[in-house]
Amino acid sequence: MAQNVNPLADTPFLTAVLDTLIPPSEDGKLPGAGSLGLASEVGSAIERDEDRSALVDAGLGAIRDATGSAGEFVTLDFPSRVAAIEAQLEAHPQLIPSIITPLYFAYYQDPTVLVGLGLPARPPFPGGYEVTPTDPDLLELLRSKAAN
Amino acid sequence: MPNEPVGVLIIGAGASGGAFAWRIADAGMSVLCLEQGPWMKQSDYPTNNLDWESRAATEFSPNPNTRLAARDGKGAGGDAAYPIHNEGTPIKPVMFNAVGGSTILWAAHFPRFTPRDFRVRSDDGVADDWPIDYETLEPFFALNDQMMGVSGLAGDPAYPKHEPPLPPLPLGATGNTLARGFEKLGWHWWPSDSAVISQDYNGREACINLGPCTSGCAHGAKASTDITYWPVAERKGVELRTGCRVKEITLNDAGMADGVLYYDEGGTLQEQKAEIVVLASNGIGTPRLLLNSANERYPDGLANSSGLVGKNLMFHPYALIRGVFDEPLDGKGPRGCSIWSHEFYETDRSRGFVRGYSYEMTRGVGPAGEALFGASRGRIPWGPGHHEAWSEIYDHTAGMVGITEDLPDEANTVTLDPELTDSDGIPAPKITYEVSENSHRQLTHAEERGHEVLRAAGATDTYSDHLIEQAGWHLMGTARMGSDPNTSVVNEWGRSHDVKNLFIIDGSIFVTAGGVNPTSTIQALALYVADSIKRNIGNLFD
Repeated sequence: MAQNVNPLADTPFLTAVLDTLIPPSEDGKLPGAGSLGLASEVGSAIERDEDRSALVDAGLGAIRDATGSAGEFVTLDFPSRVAAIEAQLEAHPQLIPSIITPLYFAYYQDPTVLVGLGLPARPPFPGGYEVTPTDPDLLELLRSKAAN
Repeated sequence: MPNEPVGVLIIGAGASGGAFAWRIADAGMSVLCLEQGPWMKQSDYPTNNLDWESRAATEFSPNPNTRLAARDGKGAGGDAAYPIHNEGTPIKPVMFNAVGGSTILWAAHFPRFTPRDFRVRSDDGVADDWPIDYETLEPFFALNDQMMGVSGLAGDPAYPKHEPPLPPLPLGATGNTLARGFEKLGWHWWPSDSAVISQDYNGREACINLGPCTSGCAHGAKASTDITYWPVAERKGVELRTGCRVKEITLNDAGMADGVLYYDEGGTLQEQKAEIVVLASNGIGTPRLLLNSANERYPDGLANSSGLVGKNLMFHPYALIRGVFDEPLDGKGPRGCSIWSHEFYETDRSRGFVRGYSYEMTRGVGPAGEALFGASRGRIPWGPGHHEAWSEIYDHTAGMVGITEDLPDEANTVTLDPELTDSDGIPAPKITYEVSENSHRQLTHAEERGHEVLRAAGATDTYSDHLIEQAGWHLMGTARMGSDPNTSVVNEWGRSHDVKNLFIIDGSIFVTAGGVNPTSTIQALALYVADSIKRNIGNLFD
């Protein structure tokens, strides 16, 4: 993708960034955030917040500029992509905090991820959850304290 | 067509307004409540959907500024929220504006103030005693427990004997684990009194452990006054008008309140006459309205001859302490309600501070919340190691908060912002507040002892936040009660010293803050004021 495209709209680039921030798990149960197809959702969420968008644009633009004009970031191996992002964090300290709020919400609310984590892929209501009952020994202890 | 005059006009349909409306309904007067927010629908609450965590953090945020920023037509309650200038306080005020008020989003932790909380001047030589005591309020605490539906276990040695109407909620693995830690150290602990029903009760179904009570209960097991007091208040004839934001309280020539001016749902300014005006707008909304009601007779704000309207703002500064455990902890279940401890509640000057704090054990947070929480504290990295770090923490973390007693200080204030307004153009509140040295010492103590008890419970790693920023839930003291008009705003039954038919029933009238959540005490006070009005109806304005 040409470099004059807003980095948040540069889907291959943003996908690679998201896959770097949340890579696939080693056991294969969890996909990378980019491979999960979250670039559009995360990009849109960032763009809805003007301040956040400016910070992310600047930071991602710097990463893309530093790694080459023809989309080289996408072709880098994982350690090199991590290094490329880290290299920009001193100049753009708000980049990661600005991305991860929408990213983590999108990722950890995705049914594929919830299943991969061993969690039910459903909202809390109406099913609710099981909760361990009060330890009967503790309850007995309290009742004896109350009696005294 | 002008609105028909009413006998009693209540401003605000939250914790205190709902309780008061129900109790005053049989006094033989017509009762109207004006509420700036809407009725909420349980089907709209975040836990109905997979994206419950992001919605809870944005459109259902307890911070009104966040809700307003998130709205784009989506912020819960819409324009009912009013902005708050909160840059001058390290604790950000939070609240909700709807029928039910902040009980829509609260954790429903339901401790009462203790008897000693009402006499800190006599016992500890600080602040002031209340003009009423625990024994006076006790029947109203009990009545309120019945109305809200409170689960708990009788016999807590930290309190005079009382019997919650429902058995305690299950402690869960988290509560069991932490309770053993307290027990090992010989420290006080007890299952929390919780306004969450453990069994079916008054047409409501028992809690099914949705987890995040603090974004509204989709099941209706958590008490909020829209489903507890308001349905019965309306059946008793109380009229509740939503979407109505009061601009000012008006006076007649005799200096008595004669009603209000308010913006209706369509934004039209309306006049409503009343014989009695009752403020139930919380510790920020109430002083805001009194200050916005300044007139020629009361240029410094209504009911403010003492100069104390908006002063002595108290929060509860919170410390957060968390521990990571090897074993899984079922972090679901009512978010704020597990166990509490009053081990460090009473004054022991050898600790370096006066008064004290309670602990409340909290349960886990959701998957995204835990990832963000861990990231903000450098515990869950992005990139390499992300999944491993998340797995070590999620459902393996138990936490607690230390709720410290804030002491009144006239420098901590609610004033009117000269520029910021709400959507109706009414001046917004501005908060100026500092955490006192006494509170800082309590917070430090709470952190240190919290680490100790978490370790005793088996935590392999502990960490803490000295002060939680987004925790200004408890808004107290800004129109304090007392017997001396020079040093208080209302008398011992909530009546303004200056305006004899103006009553205040929310947290504004607290003299001191205690070290526990205030809602149980706020509602008991509201019921007590309602009964006081009924009892004194013959000479109410003397």
